[in-house]
Amino acid sequence: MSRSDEPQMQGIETDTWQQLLRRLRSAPVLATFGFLLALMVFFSIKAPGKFNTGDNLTRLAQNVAILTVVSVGTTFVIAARGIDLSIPSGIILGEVFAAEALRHISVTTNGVPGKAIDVSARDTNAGYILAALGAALLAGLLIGLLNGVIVAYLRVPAMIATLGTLGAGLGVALIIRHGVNVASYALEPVANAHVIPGVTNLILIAVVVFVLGVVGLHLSVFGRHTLAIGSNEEAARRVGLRVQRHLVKVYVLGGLANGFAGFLSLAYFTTTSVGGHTTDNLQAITAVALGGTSLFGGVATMFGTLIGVWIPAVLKNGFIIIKVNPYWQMVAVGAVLVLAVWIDQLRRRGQQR
Amino acid sequence: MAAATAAADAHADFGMPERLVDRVRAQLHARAVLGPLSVLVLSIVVFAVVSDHFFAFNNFSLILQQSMVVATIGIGQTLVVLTSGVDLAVGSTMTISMMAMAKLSAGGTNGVLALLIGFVVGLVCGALIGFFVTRFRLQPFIVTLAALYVYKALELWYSRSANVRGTDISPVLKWTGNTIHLGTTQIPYGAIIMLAAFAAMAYALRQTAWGRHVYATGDDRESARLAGIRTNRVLLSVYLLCGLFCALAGWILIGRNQGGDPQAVTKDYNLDSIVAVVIGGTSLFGGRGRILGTLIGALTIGVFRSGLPLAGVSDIWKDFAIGVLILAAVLIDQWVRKVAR
Repeated sequence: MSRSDEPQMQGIETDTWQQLLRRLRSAPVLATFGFLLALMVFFSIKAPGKFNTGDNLTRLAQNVAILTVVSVGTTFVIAARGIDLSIPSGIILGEVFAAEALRHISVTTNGVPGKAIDVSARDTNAGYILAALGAALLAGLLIGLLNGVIVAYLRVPAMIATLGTLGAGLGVALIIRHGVNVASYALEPVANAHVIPGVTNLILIAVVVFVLGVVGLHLSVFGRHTLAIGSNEEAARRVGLRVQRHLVKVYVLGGLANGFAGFLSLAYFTTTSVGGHTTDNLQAITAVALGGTSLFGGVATMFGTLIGVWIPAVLKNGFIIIKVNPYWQMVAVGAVLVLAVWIDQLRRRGQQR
Repeated sequence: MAAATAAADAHADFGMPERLVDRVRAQLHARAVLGPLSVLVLSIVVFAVVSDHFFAFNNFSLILQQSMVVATIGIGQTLVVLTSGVDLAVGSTMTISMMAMAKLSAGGTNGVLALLIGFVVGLVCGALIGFFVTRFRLQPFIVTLAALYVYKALELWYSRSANVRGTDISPVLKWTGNTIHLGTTQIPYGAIIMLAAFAAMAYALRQTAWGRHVYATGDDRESARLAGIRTNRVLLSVYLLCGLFCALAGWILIGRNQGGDPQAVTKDYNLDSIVAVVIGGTSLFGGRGRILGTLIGALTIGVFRSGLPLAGVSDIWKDFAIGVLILAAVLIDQWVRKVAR
């Protein structure tokens, strides 16, 4: 049995590029990509010199960077047929943990004793940044682990489990901060400085996370197992996958992405945002679904998610520039969302026949 | 057949299990509302002991007023969840219906007519969702997520994000905020309407064929269809009713605020109503749960929101407490359901 499987498995390993191409073709990602391009062309014609400027596009990329990081994690969760409503709590706990870490590092600037959270962007160093990063990732890890254990081992529906950790996590963040936000410029270079001229680090980081997401979902065994579980949990169990353990890993991955997004958010906005980010969960799920990842699990595309992040952002930005009431952005997003999922549905029904 | 009946009997009284824990579990399993109810009673007792001001009729009246909007939305949400769906658009549907009522009335339309039009708006919102769910067989989660955006945008566009002042609105719309006096306690008509709606739906779900069809469709849509139930009609009726109850909640909210607040759409009515349903013991997998559980769930949230500050606990613990409450509720539910396995 295992011997007859081996050559096939090897075939899959070696033909990853072909696999990737085939997966791309089977997903409606080209349609959504075409839609995004059409939107950009439309706004470029309607508002020449306003929409299609390098400045505007860079600003757009910067605006969607944090949501991109979150959505990469969410894609894994949804690929495994899960859902994560606790995203805001992961982000805000990430911010708060990072801020707390900075608050507990004593520093002496120009002979004056103080805390790392108060240092300026010029006086900060890699040590503080790494400490904050570690703390933010720890926060994400904890929430993700909690989600994963509750969903995989206690068999609570993902939606309720993460609804619970959403409230509990936001509550813990409020309790730690006593409901008060704190500002810090210590992390600012992480987001706003340039390693590559013209591209802020925030954009660069989002690109790196996205590439890691593509590799993790489409080119690694981990991603393959995630899709297998999402497509049919029982079948995955019977071929020998440790489904529960893998699901925990998937939720931990989602949590880490959220915690990291919190770290980036603190760096970019230079303040914690207790009480903010409340709709990030629905935004991320919208992006993932827009991109063509099925909420039934098993079919996922990281490229689609990137497009799904961009479509609402371009619509909003473009509508504002051509002076259409930006409320229509929400209407358009809703319509495209239903359309994208309907196409997914048709495709699946076609496969079943 | 006899064996099956015997099993069912054993299921009901469980032949007096040895351990107290098992007996408690069997009781909780046999009576779905018992679990949520004991949580509500327990939290009331705890807060009454901790705070001197909690156990007062005036405070209960306040809790009722604070819970009545979420509870009314919760009726619709329960129906949708019973059919193994979820409605993320309840907050937007409520706000758009409410603003239609308030703006029309402020613009000179007869109060009753404005009210009726508001209800029609709620019905149309529900019908659209139901249409996409049944006709295109899309997941309710996605359809209602899309509807959340669309209705929210339409609401903000229609209302121009401007409040409608209470003085401009017909008394018919504000009537839900009027109170009747029971001794020194004031009960708003909105709360009475809410309780009546719960009673009506509890009757409809338990005593009518339609109610059984809702449960059957939620339990297994395909089996229900094969058994001759027109599942699409059942689903459509559920989303229509959900829209209707959202409009009702909008009417109650006008009474509570004494005006039309377009920003109500940004408040967390969607998640709050789901929380009420979950704490009330209704299964998100569909086909299992009691509508009265949702009332208890909404009241439990209200008790925590009112009790924590009165007990001297800072307001910031509220979110944490409710999160823990949800997790506790589902974990107890999982534990109780092990009886059935």
